[in-house]
Amino acid sequence: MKRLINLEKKERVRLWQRAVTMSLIFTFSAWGLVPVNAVTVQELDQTIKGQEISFYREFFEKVLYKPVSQFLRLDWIIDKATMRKHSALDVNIYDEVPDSGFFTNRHGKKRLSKEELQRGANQGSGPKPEGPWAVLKGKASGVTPGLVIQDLAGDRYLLKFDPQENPEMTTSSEIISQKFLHAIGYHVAEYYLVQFLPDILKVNPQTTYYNKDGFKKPLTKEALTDLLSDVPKYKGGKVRASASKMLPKPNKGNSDLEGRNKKDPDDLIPHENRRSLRALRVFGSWLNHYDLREGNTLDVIAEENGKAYIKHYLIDFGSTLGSSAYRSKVPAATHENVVDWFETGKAMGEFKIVQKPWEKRWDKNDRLIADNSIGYFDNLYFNPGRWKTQLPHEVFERLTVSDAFWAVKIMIAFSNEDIQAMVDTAEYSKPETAKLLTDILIARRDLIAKDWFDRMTPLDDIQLSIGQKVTGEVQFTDLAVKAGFVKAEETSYRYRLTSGSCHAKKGIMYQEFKSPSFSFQMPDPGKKNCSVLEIQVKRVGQSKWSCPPAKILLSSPSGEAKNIISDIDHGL
Amino acid sequence: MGRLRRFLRICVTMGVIALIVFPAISFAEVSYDKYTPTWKYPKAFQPGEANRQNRQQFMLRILEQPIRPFGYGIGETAEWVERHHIDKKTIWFFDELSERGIHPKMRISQSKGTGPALELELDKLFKFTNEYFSLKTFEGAGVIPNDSGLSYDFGGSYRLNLPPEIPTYQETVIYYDRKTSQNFFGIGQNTSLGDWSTYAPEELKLNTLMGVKPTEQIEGKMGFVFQHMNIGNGRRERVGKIKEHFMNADIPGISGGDLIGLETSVAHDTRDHQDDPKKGGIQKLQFGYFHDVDSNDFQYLQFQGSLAHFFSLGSDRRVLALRFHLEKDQDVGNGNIPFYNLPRLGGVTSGQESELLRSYRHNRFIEKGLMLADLEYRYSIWEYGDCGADAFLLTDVGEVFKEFSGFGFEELKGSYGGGMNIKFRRKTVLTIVWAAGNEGSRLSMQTKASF
Repeated sequence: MKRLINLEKKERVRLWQRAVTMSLIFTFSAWGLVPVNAVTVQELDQTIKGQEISFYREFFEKVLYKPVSQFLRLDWIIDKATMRKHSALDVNIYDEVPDSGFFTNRHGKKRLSKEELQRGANQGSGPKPEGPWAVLKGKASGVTPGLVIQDLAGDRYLLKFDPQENPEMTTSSEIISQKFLHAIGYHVAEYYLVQFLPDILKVNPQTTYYNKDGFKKPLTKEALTDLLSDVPKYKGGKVRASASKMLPKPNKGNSDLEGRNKKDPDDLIPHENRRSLRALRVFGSWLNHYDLREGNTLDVIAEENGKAYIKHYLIDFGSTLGSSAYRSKVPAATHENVVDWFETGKAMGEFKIVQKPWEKRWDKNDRLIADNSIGYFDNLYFNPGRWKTQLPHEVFERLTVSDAFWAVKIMIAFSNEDIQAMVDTAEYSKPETAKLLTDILIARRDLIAKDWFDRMTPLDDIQLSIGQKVTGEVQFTDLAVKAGFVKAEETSYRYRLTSGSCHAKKGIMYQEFKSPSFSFQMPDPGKKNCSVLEIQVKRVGQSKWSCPPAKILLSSPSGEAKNIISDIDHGL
Repeated sequence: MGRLRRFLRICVTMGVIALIVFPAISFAEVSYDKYTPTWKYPKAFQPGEANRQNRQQFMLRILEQPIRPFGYGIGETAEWVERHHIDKKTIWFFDELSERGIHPKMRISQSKGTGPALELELDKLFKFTNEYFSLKTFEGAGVIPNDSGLSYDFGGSYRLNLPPEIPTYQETVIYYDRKTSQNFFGIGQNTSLGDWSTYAPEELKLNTLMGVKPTEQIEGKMGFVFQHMNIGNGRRERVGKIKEHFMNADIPGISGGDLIGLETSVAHDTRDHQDDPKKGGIQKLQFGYFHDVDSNDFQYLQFQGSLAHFFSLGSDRRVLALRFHLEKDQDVGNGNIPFYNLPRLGGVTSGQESELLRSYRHNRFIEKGLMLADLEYRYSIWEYGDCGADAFLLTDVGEVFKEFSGFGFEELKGSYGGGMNIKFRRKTVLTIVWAAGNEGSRLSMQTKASF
C-alpha cells in the first residue's frame, strides 16, 4: 500500500511536470500568435506621451551638446578606448531582421512586381485633380511651402511644391524615395504626384498659415495666390505637387533614434542597436537622404490581430536625391555634417594641401548643377562608407559590417528595371532627366554594394545539408558574384571548422575550394561544443582573404543527434 | 539461371534507382525560415533586461547628469524658438529695421570695447529718400576688459551725390568719441611694458570732403579736418595713469588740443569682394597737413601708403594675403605732433588707429614713422551653404621709427600665429586670432577680419 502511495506520488509529480511543461509549451507556442503585451489602442494612446522634435533642438543636441557631454559618458569613453562595436539586437539567428513595428521585409524577401514597386505604400489613387480641395491650413514647419488639403472623399493630404529654380526636383524626390523606402521595408505614408489648377483650392475664413516671416495669418485667396506665385507652373497653368496622405490618428509624434520609449511595451531594444535603423545610413547613402533625423519620423498607433502597437514611419523625403527641399543640395552636403567638428579640425591641420572630396567634386562640375530637376546629385567622389547625414546620429555611427551587409543585400535585390520603374513614377517632363537619375541610382547601388562587399565576406543563402555518417555540406551564394561585380572563376574560398574551445583556434588549417559549396566533417553533435565554420573569400588581385569572415555556428538541439545552423554572423 | 537473371535485373534496377536517388538523399538539407523571429539575443527582448540596461547606462552617465538640465533647457529653448518661428520673426524684425534705415550691430573692438552699436539712415527713417542725398547717424557703446568705464561714440554724416554722369560727391562726417582707456607705453621703438599706462581720449572730429569716383575701382578724396581732443587719465585698473606715470616726460598733446588740417587720398581697389577677397588688391595713398588752432604749436605733415594683394593659390579656397603699410609724420617748422595722432603699432585690426602687430598690445608702439608687412595664408576649412570658416596662418613684421634713417632690421618686431574667420554669406561675423611674439602670446576676438 505504501509502495502504491509512493507510486501515486511519483505519478502525481510526473503529472505536474507534464502540466507545467505543456503550459510552458503552450505559452511559448502562443507567443507568436497572441501578443504578450496585448494592449488596446486606447491603452497605448493613454500610456505613451507624444513628442515633437524640431530641427533646432536636434541641431543643438547632436552638434553642440553631445560632442561635449559624451566626454562625461563612461560607456562612450570605454567604447572609444577599446574600439568596441555593438552588434544589432533586433536580428534573428540567421542575421536577418524579422518584421516589426520598424520594418517589414518586402523586396529583399520576395521580389515585388513592377506594379507593386510603382504603387509603393499607396492604397488608392490620391486626391482627384479636378477637386475641389478644401485648404485646411498652411504647413507650419519646414522650409518649403505646404498646404494641408481635404478632398471630396474626406481624405487629408499634405501638398508640397518645387522651388521655382528647380522644377520637378522636390516633388520627384518625395515620390521616388517613398517608393524605394517602402519597397526596402520601411513604413511610409502614401504619396501621390498631383498636377492641378490652383483654382480648385478652396479656402475658408478660418484657414490660417504661417507666412515667410513666421506670423500666423488668415489664408485668403490673395495669400494663397501669393504663396503659389513662387511655384513653377506647367502646361495650362497647372501646379505640380506631391500629396502625402496624412497618417491615421492617434499618432505620438517623432521617434527617438537613440534610447527607447519605456512606455511602449514592444520597444525593448535601444534604437541605436536596431539594425533596421542603423541601415538607414546605407539606404540613405543610396537615395542621398541626408535629412534622416528624429524630426522626420512619426509614431502611429496601429492595430494588428487584435494587438495595438506603435508603427514607426519615416516621413518627409523632400531632401533626398539632389534636393534639399527648397533648393539643390549644397556642395558639402552628404560629405560633411552641417557642422562637422572632425572634418573641420582635420581641414585645419591639413592647411589645404589637399582639397576635400566635395570641393574636388564641385570644381570638377565647374560649380554647376547638371540638371535642375534632379538637383546636385551624382556619383563623383562618392564614398559610401563616409557618406553623412545632415546631423550626426549615434545610430548611424553604430553601423557594423553585418548591418551594412543586410542593407546591401536588400539594395542589390533592386534590378535596373526596378529602379527605372520607380524613377518613372516621378513623371519627369524630360525623358533624359529620368534616364540620368536612373543611371545615377544604378551606378550608386553598385558603388555602395562593391564598397561594402570589399569589407566583408558577402555570402548569403547559407544552407547546411547533412549527409550520411558525419559529413556535412554547406552551400552559399556569393552576392558579389551574383551581382556580377566579380567572376566566379576569379574567386576562391576557404573554410575552417573550429570545434571545442573557441579560444584555441590557432593552428587550425583552412581548406580552400573554388565552388560555392564544400563538405566537411561534422562535429560530434553529442558534445556541447562551440563549433564554428569560418568562411572567407579572396578575389583575383587581392592579397588577403576577406575579413571579417562569415561565421556559421553549428549546434545540435537537445535531444537531436544532428547539427543545425544556430547562428550566422557577418562580423562587426 | 532465371533466378540469377532476375536477381541481376533487380540489382541493376536498384543501382539505377540508387544512382538517381542517392545524391538526393545523401545530403538532406536542413531547411529553415530566414525571417523567423528566433532572436540572436533573446535576452534583449526581456523587459527586465531592458530596464537593467537603462539603469546601467544611467550609472555610466552619472557624470553627465549635472549638465543635463542645462542641455535640456537650451534644447527646450531651441524647440520653442522654432515652434514659434522666433527665428523667422527675428530676421523679419531686422529686415524691417534695415528697410527703415536702422542697423543695430554688435561690436567687438580692442579700442572701443565690446558692446552694441547702431547706425541710422535718417533719410530712410524719415522717408525723404533721395538719390542725391543721404543722412546718417551712428552711435555705439562698449566695455573694455578690466576697465570700469563705458566707452561710447556717436556722430552723423551726410552725403550729396551729383547726377550719375558726374561721379562726384560731397561728404561731411562729424562724431564724438569717448574712450575710457587707451594703452600708452611712451613714444619710441624701445618703450617698455613696465611703462604701461592708459589715457582716456575724448574726441570731437569734423571731416568734410569732396570725393570723385571715375570708375568702380578708383576713388579720390580731398577734404578739411577739424579735431578737438581732450586727454584724461585712463580708467584701466592695475596700470598707470598717463598724466601721473609720464608726468615728467614731454609728451606732445598730453593735454589735448584743437587741430585743423587738409587731407587728400586716392585708392585703387580691385578686390573681388570687400569682406572676403580671394583675388585682386587695394592700393591707397593718403597725404595730409595739420595745424593747431590753439596754443599747442602743432604743425605737421602726414603720409600714409598701403598696399594689399590677395593671390588665389590654385583655388579660391587657398588665398595668400600680403599687405604692406607705411606711415610717416613729419613736423613742420619745429612744430609738434600730438601723440594721439602719431602712427601706432600693435593690435589685431588694420586701418583703425593702431596697426597690425597681433601678438602685441593695442597701441604698443608709437612713433613718427611706421613700416609694416603682414602675410596671411587663408584657407577654407568649413563651408555649408551660406556659412563658412577660414583658418589662417599669420605673420606680421613691423617697426616704428623716428626717421627713415632710424629704421633698422634688427629692431623689427614680429608676430606669428593663426586664427579663424567665421563667415556668413562671405561676411566675417567673428574672427579669433592667436598670435605670439617677443612679448608673449595673445588670444583675441573681433567682429571684423584683420585686413
